Amino acid sequence: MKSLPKSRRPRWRYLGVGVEIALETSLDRRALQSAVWEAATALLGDPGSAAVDPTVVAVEFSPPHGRGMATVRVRREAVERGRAVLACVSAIDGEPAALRVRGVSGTIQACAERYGDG
Amino acid sequence: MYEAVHPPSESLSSVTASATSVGYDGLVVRDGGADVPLDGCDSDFDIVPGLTVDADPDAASGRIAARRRETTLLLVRGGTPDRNRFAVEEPRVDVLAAPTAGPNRFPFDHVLARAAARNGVRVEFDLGPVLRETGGTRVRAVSSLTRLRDLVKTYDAPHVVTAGAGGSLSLRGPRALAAVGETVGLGHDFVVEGLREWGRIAARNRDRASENWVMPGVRRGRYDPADWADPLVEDDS
Repeated sequence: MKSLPKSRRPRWRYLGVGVEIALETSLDRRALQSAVWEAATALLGDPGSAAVDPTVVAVEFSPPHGRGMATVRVRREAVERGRAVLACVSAIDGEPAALRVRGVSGTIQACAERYGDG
Repeated sequence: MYEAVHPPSESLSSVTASATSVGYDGLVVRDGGADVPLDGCDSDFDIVPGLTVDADPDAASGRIAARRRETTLLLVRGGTPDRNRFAVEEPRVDVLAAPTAGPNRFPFDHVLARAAARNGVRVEFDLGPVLRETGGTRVRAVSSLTRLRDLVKTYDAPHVVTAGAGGSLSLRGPRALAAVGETVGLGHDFVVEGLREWGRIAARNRDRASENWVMPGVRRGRYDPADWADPLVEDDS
């Protein structure tokens, strides 16, 4: 299939998200993704979550400190709703957690450089 | 902007560090008064001691009289029509906390909203259940908040907004709370205004507790126009 012209492709924004969770092991991307989806459907419903489409792109997490950084992709028009969804995540895999948006970028690379821990 | 937290089980310094990182200028500690331990907290970060009176109207009146001077911020926990009515009709109360938390029918009405506006008692909007509960509990919480918002806006009663955090993990930043408020129908500006209000009450009460304050509009000492700058107006410069 032909790829869409650039002007027709969906526009995304990448949220640099600080993750705080008391975990001894590493944080699984899937666990974070399911917590985000759960929060999104609970807050916005299925159509609302589809409009925001929050997707965890990358996770960096260091267990000894209980802190890490995740990159979450949302639709450009839905950054504020994405922020609300992330605020409603209070546990990941049953462990109390907090997700704090550090900033918003237009590319994954810029997001990691600006808001990453390294 | 300020946020109100329950006395945390962890050290207060870790909560204040989180609060600083998400953009708060200060925190109100809802209980503990002047006994709140400030070990390890950043001295630039403002911590406002508060006390919460959780009692039925018969007992609450005496407690308010006893505690008003002990603390900067005085909150009264509502939840029933009687408690809410008592709190909004008492000008010595700063904040009516959890006005809709009880199991009863919606315990707030236009009469109470008018009284709150008349007496300057701030009505609290707790976003905690929206952030941490699920299912029917959360649906009822959202419905109560929007109903309360309509009353408070109609009668121009002052309000405060909080996430009801009890530790650094349940603390949420001002932009996150504003986004949640916008999503559940409270409105972005309404939430931001509610977060600013904590700082305004603290500034007003500290001004009143200072030696030079006699009564509204009357100060001790020589006349200096700088002393008359309204502490409630934020300096944007």
